[in-house]
Amino acid sequence: MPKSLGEFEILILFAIVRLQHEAYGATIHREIEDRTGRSIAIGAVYTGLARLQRSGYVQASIGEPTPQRGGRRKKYYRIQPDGARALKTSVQAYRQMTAGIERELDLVFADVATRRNT
Amino acid sequence: MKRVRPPWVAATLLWLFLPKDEREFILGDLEEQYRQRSRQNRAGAWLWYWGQVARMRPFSLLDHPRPAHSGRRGTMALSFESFFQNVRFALRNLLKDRTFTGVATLTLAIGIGATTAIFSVVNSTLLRPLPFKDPDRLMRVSLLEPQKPGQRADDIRREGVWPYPKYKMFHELQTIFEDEATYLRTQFNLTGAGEPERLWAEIVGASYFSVLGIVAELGRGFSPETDGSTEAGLEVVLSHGTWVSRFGGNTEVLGRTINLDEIPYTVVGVMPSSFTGIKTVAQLWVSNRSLELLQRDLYHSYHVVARLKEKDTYDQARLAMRVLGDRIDEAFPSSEPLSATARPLDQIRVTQKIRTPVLLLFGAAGLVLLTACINVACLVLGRSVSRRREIATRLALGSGRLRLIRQLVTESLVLSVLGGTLGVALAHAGVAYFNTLGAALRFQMSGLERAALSSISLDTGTMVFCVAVVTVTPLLVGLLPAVGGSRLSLVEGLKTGAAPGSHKGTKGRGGLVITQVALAFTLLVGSGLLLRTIGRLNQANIGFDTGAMMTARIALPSSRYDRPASEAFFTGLLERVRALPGVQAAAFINCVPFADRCRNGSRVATMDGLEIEPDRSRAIGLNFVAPGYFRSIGVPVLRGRSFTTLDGIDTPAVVVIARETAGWLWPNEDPVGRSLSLLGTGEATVIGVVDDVRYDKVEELSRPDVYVSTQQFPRRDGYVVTRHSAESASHILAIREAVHGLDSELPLFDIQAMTDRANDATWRTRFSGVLISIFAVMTLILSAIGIYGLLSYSVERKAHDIGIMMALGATQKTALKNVVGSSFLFAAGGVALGILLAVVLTRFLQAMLFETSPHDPLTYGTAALVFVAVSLTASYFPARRASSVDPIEVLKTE
Repeated sequence: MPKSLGEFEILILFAIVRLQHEAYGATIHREIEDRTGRSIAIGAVYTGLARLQRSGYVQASIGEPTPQRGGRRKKYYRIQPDGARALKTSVQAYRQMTAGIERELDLVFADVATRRNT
Repeated sequence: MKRVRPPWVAATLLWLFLPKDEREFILGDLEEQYRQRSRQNRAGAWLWYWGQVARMRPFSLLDHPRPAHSGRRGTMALSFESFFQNVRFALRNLLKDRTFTGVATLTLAIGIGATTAIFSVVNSTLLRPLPFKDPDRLMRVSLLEPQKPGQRADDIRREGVWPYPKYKMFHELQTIFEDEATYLRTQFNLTGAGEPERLWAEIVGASYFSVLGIVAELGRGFSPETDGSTEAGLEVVLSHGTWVSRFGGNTEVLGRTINLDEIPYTVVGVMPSSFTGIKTVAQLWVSNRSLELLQRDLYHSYHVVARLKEKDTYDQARLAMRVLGDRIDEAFPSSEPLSATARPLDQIRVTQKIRTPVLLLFGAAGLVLLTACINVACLVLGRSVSRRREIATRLALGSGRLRLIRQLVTESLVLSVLGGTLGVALAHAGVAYFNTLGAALRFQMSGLERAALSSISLDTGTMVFCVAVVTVTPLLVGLLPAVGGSRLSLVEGLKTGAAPGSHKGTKGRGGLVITQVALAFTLLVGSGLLLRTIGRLNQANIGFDTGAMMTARIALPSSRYDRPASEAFFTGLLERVRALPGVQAAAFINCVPFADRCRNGSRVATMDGLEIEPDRSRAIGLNFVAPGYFRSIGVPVLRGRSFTTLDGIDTPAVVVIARETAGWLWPNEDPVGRSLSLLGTGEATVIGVVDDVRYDKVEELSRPDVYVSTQQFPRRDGYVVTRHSAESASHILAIREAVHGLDSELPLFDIQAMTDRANDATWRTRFSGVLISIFAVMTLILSAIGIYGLLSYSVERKAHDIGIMMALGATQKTALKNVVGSSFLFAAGGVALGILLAVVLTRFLQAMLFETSPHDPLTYGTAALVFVAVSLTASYFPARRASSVDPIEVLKTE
């Protein structure tokens, strides 16, 4: 049974899936920041990527250098079957947790909104 | 596309700390994002970059995989944030142990401060290039004087001055130099601009400033075409100091007229503060044109400075000068054939008399630095060993070794920063002190020396070196126990609180302490020798009593005073001064003892009408005195009589000779009634013999003296010497008034109490003595601390053993004796080593000692006793601690 993923690692894997062939450190970082609205330390992204790599969930490949990077190369990441499985497990867990409580969730969110307005 | 680069400092930090494999990719990502962001907001992007760096945890990329549920805060992660945390923690730790931190900081500061300050002096006096353009191309060209017995052929003292006709020949014939100019020193009475004042000046050739490559700070120097004079009249160039002190630094000074010896000059320029002449500390410059207008006797003594052509070498110059010198000798057959030479200007920048003490002090400062490093090493070692228990516990609880090392390193760094900052402040203060000292010293210094000594700047190179040295030392020493200790069995460490193998640590520390004591002993001996020398100098028999004696110099302008008028002036002045309240005696002499190179010299030409053979001939000191001089100074008349007012212009010429002269010319006979003549004078009768006076050096008599009376040989320029019933500052005011009563335009200058003159004559020795004593005290304190530290550590460690001993019946006294005994052993070992070291090193001190042997047993013995006392004092607290060990308590903690 594959290890369960931490929250941040899940976000990283989501980003990698979305970005497909354009997933490397900078784009992953940007993607997570944009979509979650949080300010993320890029170091955390690399730590997570390193761990994911060690677990075999992603695989890295080296790309071409570009002038925007001061002539440095990129390291692209692709999700691996094991990673996909782990991600699916985590997504399913969330789905199970939220199954059928959309209405309650909406009420909670609305309540929060009205509280803020008053 | 404009190159937008991320902050390079941050990038470099990352580059240093990131694992090699990941470096390129991470930096690339960061740069890419930085560019994107900086398109909208440059400053924001800069801040963002730094923020990312601060939160980066480089070492977590090397971590072993952790369980997925662990949070962001890992115990092993390192980020730059945690570095600042470490620093705060280290500071807190250090401040808890205030004694250690205080002592260590002070030690570091002393080491850095002393060495940097002294080296700045060395740099400025000996190493820094002269403030001229291409200074290595400049040479001083001189004629040679006869080689004295015991002198080497290339002895610098053989180099002498040029008479004008010979210089002219050199000027016309020389080809080896690109350009050359003359310079010579003189003094002028400055009037027409406030208080009359006597100023030192250089009279220079028109190309002087261009040869040296000095550009005027204001206005200009002399130009070769006009040679210092125009239709407007004669030109003068001021020094920066004169400009500030006399003219308030006002830029309107150009074009002003001042009077030098009654002749008007126009100010055409001001020189920068870095230049104050070569031969003397020049306060202004006039050109050779002025010489034609001044009728003075000294102007056959030109110095020459020359600039070598680009490609030529010093040796070529010397050779060319030798050849040219020989030609000149041929053209002037009446004088001795001596030839000429050239010497790089750099070699005359400071005389041996300054070079020696400066280098000596540098050596001493080096010893201080060494002692400081040793001391810090001991302190850190002692502290980290006593924290072994703490370290062992933390290791047992799972703190990574790496983390511990990091923490200890941070502590050492913080300590170094503290000590370094204080040290830099000390160095600044030291340099400022040296600068004021250099400016205050008034005499016997050439212009180059003075410029060097009053513009000392903090040498950054040395400071960096010192800081590096004292940073690395605690670092290395602090790391040893961390690296070594973590390898040992932790259980052992926890049990006894002292890890095995620390016995070696004690031995090492003991060796360090002994070395410290040895160094301190050496400095103490050096200091003692110098202090003894100073004492001997103070007691030296200079031939007269300097108490309550004031001296001041007056120079009458030749345009208003001829010889009879000069004599009348001084006679009248002395009468007035003798009538002043509090004045016991007043006299006149052309050059008081220890005054600034005003002494006249001559040679005895004939004795009793017979010529003296050249090999019997000695240089003599020729002194012009007014009647009453010997009585005023307090020099006894041994035979015959001294001058009276009856010895005048119309009576036969008379001389008084000193004891040394009498012993040389007429040994075992009565010289009174005999006659002699000097070079260029007629016969004079010897009327008396007086005791010797040391006019030039405190240490010894330099030349045999001959005195003539100013009634027969009047002088325009000389010193009024007064003895008072009590010291007072108002005396000189009264004297000045008396002078102005006779002539209001006359400046009184070179005013100094006789005691100060005598002290100043030996300033080098005194100065070195004071400084080395300061160093000696510093190292003494440091070594005392070292002994104390080692003893108290040792007592702590052996508390257990002491407890057992006492439980078995040993008394408190035994424990006490033990501690004191080991303290004494340290001191003894250090003294023994120190004696060896001192015997070797005091050789360098020899040139400055007077009537004191470098192996003076009294000094060595006293220093040894001092250390015995020091060791006893240092052992006091640890001894008390040892004797108050309660055996039951100690055994309980087993």
